Amino acid sequence: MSDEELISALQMGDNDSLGILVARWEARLHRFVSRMLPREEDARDVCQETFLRILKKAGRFRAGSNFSTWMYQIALNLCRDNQRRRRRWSFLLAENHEVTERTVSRKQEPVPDPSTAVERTQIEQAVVKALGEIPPLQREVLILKEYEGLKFREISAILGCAESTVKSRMYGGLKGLRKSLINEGITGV
Amino acid sequence: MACKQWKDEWIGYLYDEIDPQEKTLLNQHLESCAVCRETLDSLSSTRDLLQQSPPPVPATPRVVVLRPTQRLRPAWAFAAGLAAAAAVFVIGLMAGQIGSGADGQATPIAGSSQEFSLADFDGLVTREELDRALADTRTDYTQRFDQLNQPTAQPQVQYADNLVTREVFDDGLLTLRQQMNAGLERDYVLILQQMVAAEVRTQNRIDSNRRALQAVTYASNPAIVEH
Repeated sequence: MSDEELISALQMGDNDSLGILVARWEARLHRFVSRMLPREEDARDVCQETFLRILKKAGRFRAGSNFSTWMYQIALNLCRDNQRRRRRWSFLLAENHEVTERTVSRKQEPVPDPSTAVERTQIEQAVVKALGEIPPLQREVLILKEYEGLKFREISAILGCAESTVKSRMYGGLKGLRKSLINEGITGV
Repeated sequence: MACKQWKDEWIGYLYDEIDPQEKTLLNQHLESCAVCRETLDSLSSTRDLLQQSPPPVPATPRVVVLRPTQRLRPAWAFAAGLAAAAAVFVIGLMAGQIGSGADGQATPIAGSSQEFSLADFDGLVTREELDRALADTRTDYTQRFDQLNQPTAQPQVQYADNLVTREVFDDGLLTLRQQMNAGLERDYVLILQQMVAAEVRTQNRIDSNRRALQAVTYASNPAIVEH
């Protein structure tokens, strides 16, 4: 069944359809939200809340709409709410003053050259930092385009703005990112 | 500087989401424009780096969909409401205590002239500390006004144990008014500190409870469950 058919089934009261949608989208949603929010606990909360809202608001999903666009919109709004809340009390929440560096064990084959692995980790950390430094609107477009692989048309539907605006933010984001990476001493940018 | 008329097309060109006709025209332009070629190359190399070194992502936890529960009014709202009520009471008490000035007209307390930023807060206070500070302020100014409650027509007025001239008395009243304004601003900061402390404490408790609940849920049932 397609995503849209599953939503229709959910609208008819078949709650098992949500389970199928979750199984289908949870990894991808988590990947997107994890890159939007610096704290893993917040990313997990937002993912859970996104599916909860899909369950609560299934009745509002219009026939002919695209499920993934809707899901990304909900998740993006929740990410923005989370960031707004964190910014409001950031002077009190000491951990937000520190640069959050994720140390994640990579599920890949061992890299034969240790120095390459170290270098790659350093570049990854620099990319994370640089992403955190560009304006949020540019970061959203960058992540949706580069890491979620969406078309500009799809991103413009999610964000509710013109394609030209999306491309303009993408351009600004890439330029800003490049500047940050050069400042971090990353070569080959 | 790269050519402005192509600026809107670079990103579409980079991701191959460009009208074929525009692509042909841009290709022709790039053959002769080194600056635009350099701009596109720098965008392309940044993009390559992003693809080669994507930000790491932790392992995906299983999502458990819980039925939404009834929410009570958050605890911070109670704290904020009580603190605001206390502030209104203090300000009202002060306004009532301001009697006639030297010219017989009612003189309101000057409003705070300072814009507070969050950086002004040098700490958080408990509700008990706030109540004590506000009570002390009330007591202090009540006593002072009792001392200054004198008829205004006399050339000399009784202030504490002394008879003072009208001029000295007016100066004293002005000084007290200034001190009261400063005191009000200080109390305002105290109230905000307490409100912030209450909200942060409550939110931290909510976050902690949610994490604990999720940990228990994930540990007990890895499947997707709707309760």
